[in-house]
Amino acid sequence: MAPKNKNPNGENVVPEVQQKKTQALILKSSDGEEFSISKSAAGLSVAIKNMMEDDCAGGVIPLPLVDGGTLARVITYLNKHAEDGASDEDKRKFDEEFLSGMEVDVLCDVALAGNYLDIRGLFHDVCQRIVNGMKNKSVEWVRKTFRIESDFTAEEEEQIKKEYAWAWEGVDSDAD
Amino acid sequence: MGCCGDVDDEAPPSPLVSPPSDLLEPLNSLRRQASLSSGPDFTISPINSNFSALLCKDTLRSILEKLALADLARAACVCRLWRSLASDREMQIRAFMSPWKLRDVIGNPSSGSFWRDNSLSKFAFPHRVCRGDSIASLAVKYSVSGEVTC
Repeated sequence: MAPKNKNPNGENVVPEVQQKKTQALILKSSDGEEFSISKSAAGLSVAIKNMMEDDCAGGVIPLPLVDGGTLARVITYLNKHAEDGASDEDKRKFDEEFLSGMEVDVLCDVALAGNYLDIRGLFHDVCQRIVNGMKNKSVEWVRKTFRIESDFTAEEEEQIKKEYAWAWEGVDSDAD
Repeated sequence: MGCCGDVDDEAPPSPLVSPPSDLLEPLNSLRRQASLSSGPDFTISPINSNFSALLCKDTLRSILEKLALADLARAACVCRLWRSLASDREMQIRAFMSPWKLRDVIGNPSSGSFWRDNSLSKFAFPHRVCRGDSIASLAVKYSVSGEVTC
């Protein structure tokens, strides 16, 4: 250890930057799973960063709106983006592969978590991915895929179908 | 959100799960698979997922905002919640204008079919058509950017 890393008492001091990186936080999911994450990675979430700055995190941050499976994915993302030496190209490639395998319901969970934890890049990318999936799909396809029941009255439904008849014709096949 | 987990702090720290390998392994293998082929039958979704993101107005709005015009109009037909957000005039106008960098859309369309597309035929230009004018040349002349199909 170089002399400049010693404090007045001659003890070794970890440089602040390094200390910040290596210190770990614990994130606790809604279903009670605990995840260890470096402060530098956790700080990419604006919401967690604010909690750390307010010093009310107390080492364990409960995230009652994020389940364990989703949190594990979010942490994978944060770790990659906080990684030393990961170029923008690496991250972009990682993001692409990270999201490409997710089913639409997982994407929705991750979008919700990204919004809640205020991770702009992740949130934006996930929303864009969901939007890409909806491109040229019919109303019926959207309802089926997102498991949404129409809550219009019969009259309203008829009126909408009349006014937007074209919206029911998926340009793409509804098969997938 | 509650930010101070006092109750949790009292409890002795339970063994840490440092991203659990059983959760990450499927992700890793998924990544490997994804690069080979995106198998439609492979899912990592939790069974109890109920698309809660789409019930959160904030998140739903962010998604709908990114939709192209025709997709946005379809979204307005899905259910009441979606309709309340997707038929928001500001959002529709933005989707309509975004490919064209227009400043404003005046008046209200008389039919829902207006939102089906925003091709050049939707615009009335105060322009005398001269010999040799094409849609593309008009688009250039009026600094309209976006995809132009003739």
